[in-house]
Amino acid sequence: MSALLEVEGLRVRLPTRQGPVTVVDGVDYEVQPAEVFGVAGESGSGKTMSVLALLGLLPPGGAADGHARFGGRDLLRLRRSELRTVCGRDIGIVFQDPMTSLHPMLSIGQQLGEPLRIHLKLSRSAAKRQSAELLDAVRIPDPESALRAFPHQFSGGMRQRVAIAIALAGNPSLLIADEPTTALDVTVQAGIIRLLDRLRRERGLSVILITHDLGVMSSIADRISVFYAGRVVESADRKALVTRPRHPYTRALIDSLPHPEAPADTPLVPIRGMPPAAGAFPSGCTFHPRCGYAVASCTTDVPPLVREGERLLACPVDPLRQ
Amino acid sequence: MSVLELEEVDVTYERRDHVKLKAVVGASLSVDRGQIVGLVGESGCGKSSLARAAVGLVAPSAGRVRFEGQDVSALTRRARPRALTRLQLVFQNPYSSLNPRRKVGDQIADGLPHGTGGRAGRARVGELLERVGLSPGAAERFPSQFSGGQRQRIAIARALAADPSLIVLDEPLASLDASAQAQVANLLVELSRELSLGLLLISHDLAIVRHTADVVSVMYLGRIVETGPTREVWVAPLHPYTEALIAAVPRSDGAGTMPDALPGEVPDPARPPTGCRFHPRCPHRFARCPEEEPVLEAAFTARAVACWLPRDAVPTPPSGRAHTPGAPATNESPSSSSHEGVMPAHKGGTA
Amino acid sequence: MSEAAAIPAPAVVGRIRPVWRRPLAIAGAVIALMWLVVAIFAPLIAPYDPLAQTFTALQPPSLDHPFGTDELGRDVLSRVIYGARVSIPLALLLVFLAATIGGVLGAIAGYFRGLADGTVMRVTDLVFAFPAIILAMVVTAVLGRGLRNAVLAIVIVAWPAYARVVRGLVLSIGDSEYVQSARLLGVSSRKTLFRDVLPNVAGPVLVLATLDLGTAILLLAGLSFLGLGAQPPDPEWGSMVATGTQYFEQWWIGTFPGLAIFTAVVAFNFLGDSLRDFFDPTSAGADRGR
Repeated sequence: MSALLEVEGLRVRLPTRQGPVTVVDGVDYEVQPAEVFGVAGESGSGKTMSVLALLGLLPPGGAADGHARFGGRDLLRLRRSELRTVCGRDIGIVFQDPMTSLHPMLSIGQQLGEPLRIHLKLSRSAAKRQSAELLDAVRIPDPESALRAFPHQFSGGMRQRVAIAIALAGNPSLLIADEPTTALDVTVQAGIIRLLDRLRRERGLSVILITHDLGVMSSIADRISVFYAGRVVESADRKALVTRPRHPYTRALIDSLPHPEAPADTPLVPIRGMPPAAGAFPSGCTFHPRCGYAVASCTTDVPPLVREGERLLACPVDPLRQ
Repeated sequence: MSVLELEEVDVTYERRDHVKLKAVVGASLSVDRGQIVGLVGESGCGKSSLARAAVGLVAPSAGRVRFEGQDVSALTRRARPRALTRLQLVFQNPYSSLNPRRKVGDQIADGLPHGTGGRAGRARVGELLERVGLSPGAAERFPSQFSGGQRQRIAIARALAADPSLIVLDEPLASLDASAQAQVANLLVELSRELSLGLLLISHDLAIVRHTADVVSVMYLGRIVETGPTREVWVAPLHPYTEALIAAVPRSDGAGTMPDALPGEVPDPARPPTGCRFHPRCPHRFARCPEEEPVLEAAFTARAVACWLPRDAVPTPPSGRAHTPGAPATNESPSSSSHEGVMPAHKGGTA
Repeated sequence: MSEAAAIPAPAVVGRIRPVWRRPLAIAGAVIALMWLVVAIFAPLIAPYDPLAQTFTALQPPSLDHPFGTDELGRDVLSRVIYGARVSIPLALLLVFLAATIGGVLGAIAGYFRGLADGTVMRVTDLVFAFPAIILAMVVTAVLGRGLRNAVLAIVIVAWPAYARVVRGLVLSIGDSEYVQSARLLGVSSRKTLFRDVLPNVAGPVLVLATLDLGTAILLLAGLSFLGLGAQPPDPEWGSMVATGTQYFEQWWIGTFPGLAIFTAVVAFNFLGDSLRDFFDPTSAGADRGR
């Protein structure tokens, strides 16, 4: 089965006062159809930028190299107008903050109607019907009156549902969600996670879920890629990654988080040091200053991402192999 | 011996449209020396208002706040009495709680008792910085040169400078990265044990509170609905809201279990539901719930809950989750909306 | 576990240009400086005595008199140069007074709140209700003509803006978390006012003052144009323009003083804009990436 999205050798550079810095340094991954693909990492790992690059949403002066094959085309080589069509129709996007991702002055109906009329070329009445159906799909109660309402009349969780509905308007095959639940309360978050899961099953939708929250990832993702300092360090299916992590960073990350299902006195083991800032990435393996298993070669050689069965691993030392 | 005691505290605000809003109603809790009390709740539950009332940044509209036996008076233009400076607060946002134009060391020195200046003062500041895991040289730098986690540690050092017996922390970990969260959480527990420091830790993150707090209080729409030793509350919650909160926390065991959603939304605090504030969303509600509001009452040893459900014996842990992972969805009936946290439209009720 | 402090990730910026690459700022600064120099060294620069009526009247610009002569035979160039001596220092004095009075009142309003705040705010509302020039005219009409009263009138018109700005800052910084933390640690609120609040007030006040310099010059010229400010024979740009309107054919009499007003006001405006961008890069004028 061919992949829905194939990213190869993605590099992203951004302008700063000190000159251009590389925030994504050679990233490869594949997203299959009807799969939830989790992108995990802390701030500064490049996870958001790698996705913004695909959508042409980098800040002014930003540049991306590499390939991103989607639907027979390379997203990084498309013209602005073509990219706009792809993003409106074949790829949907949901951002973190539902307060700012919806237009405060336009009604829900207007915001939903726009992609329907532009990308699906629906008539006004057909768009209205379809909008109501979309709101129903994301379980907004009373869709008809919701269409006339404005974002400020809804709670955060509801707004995020509306944002998801808008993202689905063009009937995309891929939905990109960047920290979709981080700004939400935990009970509301649970609803959104379930919603995404149902949408994935009903529509055969693939989802790229970017989040630093491994718990959220563990509930819904099929496969998880872990990003650190602009590179992918490990990629495996959910259960394997969470229960048998092989990369020292993945292991350290899991150990530093509180696990609700583990006994209460399981200690939180912090990862010593801090994630490096873009532009100041260490040489060789970027994790080596914080790694408990680093050897001399780790400071000089950049570890390649190697396939081992279903797993991708960027650690030649591989100290955690059973 | 309780260091901090809140007794039936109300905190009232006036909203822009001149509506009086009770952000906190009848809240009672206490923190002992060396004890970590966690206060959890979601948006709109009033926990931040409670934190501010606990330290005296805002005066309670009813009830009393007592610190080391004395009433906590609200801040006026005069300098805070020395006795009250042993009650400190650490804010959520480490980017706005430090003055960007003053050196870190000077800001920490603000808390030193009067007369500690010069060399002794500088030495003490250095000690405090080391205590929170930073180098003494940090005193000469400015906040903008530090990361979020480091800034939060500076804020903690500043609170420690006043030699407090209790620190209230309002979402201290919320703005931090995973790496920093674990570091600061561990630091707090260490400090509490070593210095016999009481901590009132306010957070929306149940998992972290479970790890750090000895006792936990759960708030919903301005009321404390349950209190008890963390371990016991987690394993056998007495209040349906606590149960729902715990069930909503995603598990990270990789099994792919979906967290449970809670149907409905938090109502407008200016117009809370009649009777028990949680009843419109409660799966166990019955006739009495919309009629009378339950108060926090002791249950078993060291536990308290505000709920009309009868408690005859030690409750058994809640039953396993209904949703089995990977099972294909059947035709969805309207009521299954509640699985996703939405109140079905046809049910009449506040939502 | 000691850690060295690390510089956090460099902020992604578009193109914040350093000061020396902003043409408007440079132009503004240069011209403003030039006028300042002219004002200071007027006796050395001006070719003739501005009050001397010794030349042929109404001569067009020539090599002897680059700006021509006016209706009383005085050299216009010298009068324009000496005019700077009136406008620039008075504008500086005026803005300084307004900023000080307004700033102090605003700080009192923000610090004590309650009655003091209400009173100051109502007075500023009152002043804001009138167009500046009208109010200034009324004050000079009451106090009498002359430059001193014109200055007073403009100070009365200008101080409320400073009061508003300073009050707002005192309130917002006073409510900030770092000030609240200091208060909880036992620092008195007066100390936090001087240590935390006021240093942050300097920036916005400076921006306002620089922009106000242009307005002050304009108001001063306007009052003089109406005959309420500078009195003959004092060389003041506004009154020179007034004379120029009566001698339309002799365009040089009104145009050169007018250009002087224009360049001075624009220069201070550019300077003020650049200062504002410098202090607050999020304002609309800054050229910045997302």
